[in-house]
Amino acid sequence: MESHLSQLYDAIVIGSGITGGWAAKELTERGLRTLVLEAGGPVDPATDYVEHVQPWQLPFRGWGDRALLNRTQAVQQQCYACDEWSGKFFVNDLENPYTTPDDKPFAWIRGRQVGGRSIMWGRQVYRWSDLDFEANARDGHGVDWPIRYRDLAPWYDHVERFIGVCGQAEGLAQLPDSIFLPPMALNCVEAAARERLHAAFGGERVLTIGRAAILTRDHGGRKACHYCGPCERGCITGSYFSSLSATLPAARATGRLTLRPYSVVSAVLRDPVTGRASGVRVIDAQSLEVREFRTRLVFVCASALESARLLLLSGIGQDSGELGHNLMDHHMGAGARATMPGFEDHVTFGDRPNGIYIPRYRNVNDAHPDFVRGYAFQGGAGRGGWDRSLPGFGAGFKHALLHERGPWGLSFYGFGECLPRHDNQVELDASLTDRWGIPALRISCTYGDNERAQRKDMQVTAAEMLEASGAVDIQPYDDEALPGLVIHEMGTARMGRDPSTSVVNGWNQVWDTPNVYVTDGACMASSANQNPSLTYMALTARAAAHAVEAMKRREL
Amino acid sequence: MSRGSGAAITRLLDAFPVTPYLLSVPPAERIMRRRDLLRLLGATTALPLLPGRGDIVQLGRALHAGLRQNADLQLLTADQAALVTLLAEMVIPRTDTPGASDVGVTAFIDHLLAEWFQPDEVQPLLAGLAAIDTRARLDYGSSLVELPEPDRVSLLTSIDDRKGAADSAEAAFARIKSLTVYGYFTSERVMTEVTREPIIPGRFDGCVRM
Repeated sequence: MESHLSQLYDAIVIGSGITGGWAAKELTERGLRTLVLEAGGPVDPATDYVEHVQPWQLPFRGWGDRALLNRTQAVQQQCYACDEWSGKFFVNDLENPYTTPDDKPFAWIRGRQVGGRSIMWGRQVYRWSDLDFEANARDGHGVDWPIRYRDLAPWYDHVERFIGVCGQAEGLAQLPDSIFLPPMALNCVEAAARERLHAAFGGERVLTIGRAAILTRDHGGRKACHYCGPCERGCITGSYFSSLSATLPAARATGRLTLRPYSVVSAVLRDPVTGRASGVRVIDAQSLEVREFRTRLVFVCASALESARLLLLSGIGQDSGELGHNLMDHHMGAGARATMPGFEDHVTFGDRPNGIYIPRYRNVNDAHPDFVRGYAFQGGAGRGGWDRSLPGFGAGFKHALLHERGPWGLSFYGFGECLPRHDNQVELDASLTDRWGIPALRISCTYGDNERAQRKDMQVTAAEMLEASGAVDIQPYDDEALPGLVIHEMGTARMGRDPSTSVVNGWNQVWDTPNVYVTDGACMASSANQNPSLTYMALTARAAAHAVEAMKRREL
Repeated sequence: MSRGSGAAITRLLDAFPVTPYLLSVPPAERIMRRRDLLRLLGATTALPLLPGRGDIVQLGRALHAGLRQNADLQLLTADQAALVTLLAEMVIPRTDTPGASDVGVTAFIDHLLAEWFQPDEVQPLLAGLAAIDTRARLDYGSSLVELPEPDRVSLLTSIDDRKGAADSAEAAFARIKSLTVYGYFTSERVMTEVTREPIIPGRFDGCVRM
């Protein structure tokens, strides 16, 4: 196919999600004329955001068009957020196929639109500590991170000042405090559990309010949260952080941003003589027209699996044999739930889009005999309304649903670290192409023995803590979710100190093509147990500053 | 992190397996149902005129409301719709606030049965509905719609909150009950006039005395 005349940009960013938005902001603010290529279409908050649409305004009252979902979003609908409101923010699985071995199912949850998955992300943000950055070196799994907390701390500051993070400072070494906006409130039961856990475990096990990229007061031109609840449907006041509400507008304000939706990148073009990327090839998602754009710098921010796929297609970053390997997701869903007596006279007002957090306590100051690394809990307390099941019918039944509430439940839901393993991997599947003719991925990923050992311990210690909280009817559970469903996939172009065992260096530059930076989840050398987006954003901002300085020094 | 309607959706979805389905109602059957509807209309208009039977007046109201909704039935026959309307109104009767039949619960259930449920879920439910009526005839001597209210309450009490096979009276009532509750509390009228939860609360308070 014929290429159009090339256009030259200082930088090209592939993807407009949480890291692409940060790359766009940082590169344009540092003076680069930057082209952002987004595979999906534009999103207009005024018409596309639906957080205030009520169930009766939808054909299926929120249950979705089941037949259509089963046909076109069989994978995507496994994500809680892919419903009758937000399903449009998730891809059509028929257009975006992938394969897995039959015995290794993987749920690849994807959003292709301007803003990517930052529109419907979980918004939980936690710093890593050196407990995490030193983990690979300490126990020998994976390769050592070339960076430590001190390298990233100023970039965590930089990101947090911009995005706005609500939370409570706790002074924990394993979970450094962010620069916080005021915390959201714990409810009565959570506050009681916090105090009782403190009494039982001292500072070792701490229940704190979730740390979230949601504004609890006006910040940076965006409005404070109004507690309507379902952030994953969008937010017309921009109260939670997304590329669309914050970084892309900042980039646009520089006058140096060109944003091109419907631009499916099929290859990063590498000049074999210079060993540098010279541009990218794009397929127009609507017309299927192919064209190329030239550039001096490429930021690959397409999401961990898409970025690995693109590098595999481009023949970039393959020297170590690690590209596509060491895929990790967190593992979630083991813990315990219980009933909390004593607060029957109290309810909450408003829909807090946030829960509680119990930071990691395993393998912090001692060594657990059964597993390495650790896990944290999310969850919270609440009581059922009309949606609870009750025996009976008639006027009394109606009165109970309208005017009474169910018992308070309290649940601790675990999120654990996954170890990097070479055999958890993605590769190109020559037998299958997507809607745009690009080879699909074959994903092969399982959880291992260390994760299973953590899950057992999650149930035990969650139950211990519920008991210490004064809860009754304690029920441990293990609702194992498929790999992928935590939607924290990462590790497929890992960072390292040695080009023979890693794909990118300590500045996120691909070893063999240094003007290509990979700054999304692909670069992660380990997974820690914290939600990773904050770390991706900090790494992206740091890499962008490095790239601009390197260009000024004429190293790129 | 529970959220009223979201939690309800999750709970209900959990109850149903997710597999592809095909369902359409042939136009010929729809015409048949309109005939059924006319027959039902003829049979029920006299009921409210009977003196001294408060529950019958109530029943008449429910059936009338049902008939208004049933003009565009997608899947249920008029008889089935009348039964669903009666059951829904018994689950959530009109009191000082609207009842199930005031807010179109039958039409909501019919819509879901036609376009959301799969055939292998619909058929057992319809069989279970028929089983409820059969039980009324066997145990109380007449169809459910014609039973005096105490007998209807007695019958439903005997099948409420009990497990049964997919096509049992117990399973049908459980499903009609949960659909009634969901359809009622997610209806425009109930959300805007009865529960009136603010769409934009503006603040979060974690500990409010009831």
